[in-house]
Amino acid sequence: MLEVELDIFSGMPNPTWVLSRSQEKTLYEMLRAEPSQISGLSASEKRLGLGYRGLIVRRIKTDDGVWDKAAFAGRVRFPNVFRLGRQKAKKDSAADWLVKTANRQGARVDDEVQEVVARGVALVPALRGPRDPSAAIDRKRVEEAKIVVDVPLRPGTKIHETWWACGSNYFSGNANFFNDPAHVTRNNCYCFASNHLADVRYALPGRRGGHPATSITCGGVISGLRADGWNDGCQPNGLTIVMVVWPNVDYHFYRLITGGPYWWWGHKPGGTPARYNDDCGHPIYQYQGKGYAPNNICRGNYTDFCGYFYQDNWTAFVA
Amino acid sequence: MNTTAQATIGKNEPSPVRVEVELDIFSGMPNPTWVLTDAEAGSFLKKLAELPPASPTKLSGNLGYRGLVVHVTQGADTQLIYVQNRIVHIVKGTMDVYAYDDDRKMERWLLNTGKPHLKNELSQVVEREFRRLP
Repeated sequence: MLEVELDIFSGMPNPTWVLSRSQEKTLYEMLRAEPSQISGLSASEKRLGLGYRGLIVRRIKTDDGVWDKAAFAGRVRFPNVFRLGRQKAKKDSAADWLVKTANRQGARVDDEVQEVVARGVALVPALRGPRDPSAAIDRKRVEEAKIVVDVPLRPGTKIHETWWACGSNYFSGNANFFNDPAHVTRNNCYCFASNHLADVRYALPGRRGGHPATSITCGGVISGLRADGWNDGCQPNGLTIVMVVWPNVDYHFYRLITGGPYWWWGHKPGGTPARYNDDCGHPIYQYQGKGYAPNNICRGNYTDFCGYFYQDNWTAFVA
Repeated sequence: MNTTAQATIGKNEPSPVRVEVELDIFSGMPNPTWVLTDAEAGSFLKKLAELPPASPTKLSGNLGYRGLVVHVTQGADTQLIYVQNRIVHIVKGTMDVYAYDDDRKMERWLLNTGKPHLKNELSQVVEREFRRLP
């Protein structure tokens, strides 16, 4: 999933919008045809002034869209964050086309702003940004499974006792996506659980939905999760997460990153790297009813198990 | 509280140093932080300079108490110093240096400066961790 930012303001927030799947596809094809339109982000910022500085494109979620499919299929890959507009296009300008998608996607770009944009970018040097290394899971560890836990969807299981093996999931063992040095310290457990590389160091359940958690208890943080769109049952293209609480002090999350026959979970403790094992070193997976899951792993002070929650990957965001 | 130390970078130009300590303990919520006094900041920088070098070591990313992160700001320069179970990892721009904190003296000293700022429950968690990994 791609978010576009029209880089034009200095004090006020720049207009941002998310591309639809078809727009993402069009952008991919335009850039594939002429990748020289892409500029890197960080090094170029020193040479940009006030006014229109181009468009910043951010890959804010992994999903099953064209962008990710192309990347994993070994086709042309682009950085997770890059700028468009400085490098002149020989044929079709991706920047000019992207600006036109703003109003269609609900971003407000008024006439005055469009006039400034039409004059073009003054100076942006071209540099490539960070790449996204794909995550790898060590499946050899499956043989070490010893401890019995519940099988998902066991008949008669009470809600919150174990998770539902949903029919439509979005699974991604994407710890490396969150462990990029530029982002690892800037995203917390809730960012990883929501699969949203938001660069919000202290993302809080409910803040995105307008009702931030008011107490650090299961009840208090669950109401925040509800406001952010998390449900108790399966959702199409769903993420499955677990919330645990260190009562009155802190919360923590785990995300199911693969389906059966292996059920792997990942988590990201604060600003440290995301990983697939617990504090005792156990890999968090289960196979044929044996292994570790968030309900039986080492969780330190996070003693309260608050349950499983589900949301469409496409709508799960944090703030 | 006086929160800036006077350190000398150039020949005659004292530059204020701000040393903020972060107790790296939470996952979702903001970690507790406190700022060292001038005297404490000076003492910290002196202790830091005296630490012996160590080999690069991977730091822990466990839940709960992980150590301390010290943010040192001096003018436009910033340094991040991770203090964790005998290892001190200093990051300044592209510089990446490891030092050895014998007997966790630096870590204990930093924690001591935070006592007035930390809730009892958190102090107990840290103490338990020290007992577990003395």
